[in-house]
Amino acid sequence: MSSRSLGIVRSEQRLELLLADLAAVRRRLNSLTWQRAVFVAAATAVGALALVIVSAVFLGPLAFLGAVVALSAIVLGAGVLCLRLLLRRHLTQAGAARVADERAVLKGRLQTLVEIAGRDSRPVLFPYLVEDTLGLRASLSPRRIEPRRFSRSALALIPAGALLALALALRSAITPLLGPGTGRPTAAREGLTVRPAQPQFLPYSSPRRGGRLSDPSAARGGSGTSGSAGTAGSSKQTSGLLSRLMAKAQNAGQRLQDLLTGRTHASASAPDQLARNAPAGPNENDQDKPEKSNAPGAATASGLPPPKSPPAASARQPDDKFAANDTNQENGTRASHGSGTDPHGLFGAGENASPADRSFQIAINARSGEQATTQGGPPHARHIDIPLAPGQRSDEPVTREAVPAGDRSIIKRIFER
Amino acid sequence: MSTQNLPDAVMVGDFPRLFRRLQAEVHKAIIGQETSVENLLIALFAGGHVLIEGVPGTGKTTLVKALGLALNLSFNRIQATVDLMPADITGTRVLLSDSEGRREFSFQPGPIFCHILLVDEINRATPKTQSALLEAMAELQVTAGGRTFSLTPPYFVMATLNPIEMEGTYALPEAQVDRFMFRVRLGFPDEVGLARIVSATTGADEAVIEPVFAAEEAAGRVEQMKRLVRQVMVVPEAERYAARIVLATQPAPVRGVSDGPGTRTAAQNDMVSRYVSFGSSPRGAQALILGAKVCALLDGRVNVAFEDIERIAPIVLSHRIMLNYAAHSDGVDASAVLQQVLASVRSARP
Repeated sequence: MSSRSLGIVRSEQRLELLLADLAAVRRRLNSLTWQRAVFVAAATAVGALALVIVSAVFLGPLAFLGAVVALSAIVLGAGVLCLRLLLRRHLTQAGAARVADERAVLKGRLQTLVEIAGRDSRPVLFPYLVEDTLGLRASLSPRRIEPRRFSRSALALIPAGALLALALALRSAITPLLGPGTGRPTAAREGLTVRPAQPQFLPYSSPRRGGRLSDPSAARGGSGTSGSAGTAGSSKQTSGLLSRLMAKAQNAGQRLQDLLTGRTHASASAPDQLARNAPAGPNENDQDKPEKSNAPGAATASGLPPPKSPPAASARQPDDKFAANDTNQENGTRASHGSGTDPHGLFGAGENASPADRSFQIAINARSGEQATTQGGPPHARHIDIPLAPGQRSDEPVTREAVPAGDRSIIKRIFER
Repeated sequence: MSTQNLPDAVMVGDFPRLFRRLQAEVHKAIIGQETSVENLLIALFAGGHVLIEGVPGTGKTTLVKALGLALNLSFNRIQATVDLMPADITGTRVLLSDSEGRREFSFQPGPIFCHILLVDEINRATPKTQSALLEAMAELQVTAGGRTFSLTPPYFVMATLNPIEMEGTYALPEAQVDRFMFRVRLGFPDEVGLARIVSATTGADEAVIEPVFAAEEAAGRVEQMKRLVRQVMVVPEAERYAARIVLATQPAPVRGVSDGPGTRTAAQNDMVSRYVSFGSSPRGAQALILGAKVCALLDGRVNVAFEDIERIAPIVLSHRIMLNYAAHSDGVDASAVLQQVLASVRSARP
């Protein structure tokens, strides 16, 4: 091999040395870029999770759901930004050479080296450049170019982790204090029983209208129904859809909140809760069936005040038969059995507290029958003001008492018939 | 650094040494003006010509003479006047008779035929005479009497301008100004410098300038150094950087220049838009890279860095930027505009 060939081989070996050094620098710089992106994304996600937990403890379902959506958007945005940062700062060999040139003050030597090394025909002075750069190899070590192995952005995880720990501690401390049912109280509309504040008033509401009682947006939509039937119908449909969506969102938010806070919430439908409160019996599983759980009888058996609507047939006004029929048809239930239809679940324990303690009142502004006629609906009951008899008391829920042992067999026989 | 078996390696190592030696020889005659002398030599080895601007008595002619002596190259001087004719520069055909009485026209070369030409107060010559220099400066050839004569390289033109005496002068056309690679300003010396000048020039001893090259090899060595400059490597990023600087001197709609990506912000520099009527020509970019190559060699490198381009930009571009009346009325000069341009382009550097 001639001396010139030897020189070329030596030059190529030196070039390989320099390129290997540059590759090490590039690896370190790219590693830092990856770390930066991952740590920032992770810190954002952890911080967002902490805020989600805090909002799960303190906010109502809808506000919580909004917070979750907003925080998810922030995390997603942060992820996109991190990805963008990663793509922009991920260095090629030429990019690493540029950075190394700047930091080691090599004045473009490495950049030129990398650029020319890739060419087929190299300039006459290229070997000189290799020699020249090799003489400055000491300043090309990865430690000198970039002393850090780990990105400082890892520190962002500390406040994020602290925030998460704080949120978890807050959750552990506050959730037991709040107990179940905290937050915004909700109730499933099918578990609602509407009764008048004054017994002389006989309330009537079609199931559809009654359903709107629990839905303010539907009620707002319904207030404008005196216009044309078409417009009213479409607005009713829209408001109904909206209310369903809102209810779904609320339920979803509630479930997520429960999942995060680890507490059971009063958002479970009233019949479900009633089923839970009912004493366990042989047919316990039947409580989960919607037909039975929705039955008004189930409410009574579980200790809630007996439903006032539909009222007893003897107390009904002549016009009220439509209301009773309508209610039964809509609900698909039978409400004429009095208290309890399941002979196995008839005899619960007595309770000390007044049933009124477990109920709540919602003030509803109702109009009298003349004003509240609906299209195609039954005429409403007239407002009849009947004073109470001296021995008569206003309608109050009867306190549940234990059935005497002697009467149980009789009652059971009646219900088994 | 081992430089054995490397082509031109000796020259790469020699370049800064020879350059500094030439500088030292010139400074035997010129007191101070270090930067100006260095820029003059950079232009020489980059293959350009220089426009020297300075008030009378600052050593313009002395500088050129000293350079000629140090390089050991042929040197001519033309004092431009209003009645100077092109033929006075390029030469003319004259009727000569030999010993036998035969007469024939023979071309008598003018002072333009040399290696180093000093055109003193070039703005006193008429435009016709000034334009006679264009062909020689750009193409290293002279056409006279229907015949074209080549000039012997290296060919280096230095023209001086007296900035305070404008009466009876003809401003150089842009095309001619553009052919000068650098404009070097010889500033007025300070008290210490002036005292040194007085001391060095009024004594019995005259400064003796020793030629750096032998007479027979001087032209060859200078050409060798110029070829070496051309071999210095430039990465495309550096070339684009020079192009961006030149484009940034253009006021946006002028000359139909379409700004490329990344140049628009620089071109929209406030000072350029307000004060510049015409920016640099593409020759400016060429001069930037060539000058930067010399700077790289002086720094012991064979590759151009961004810093080399920035270092050379003010002397390359200052005379290529044509300022408008607003600039004159506001007292803004080209160097101030260039500072802004460089700052804006530097910030967009990759």
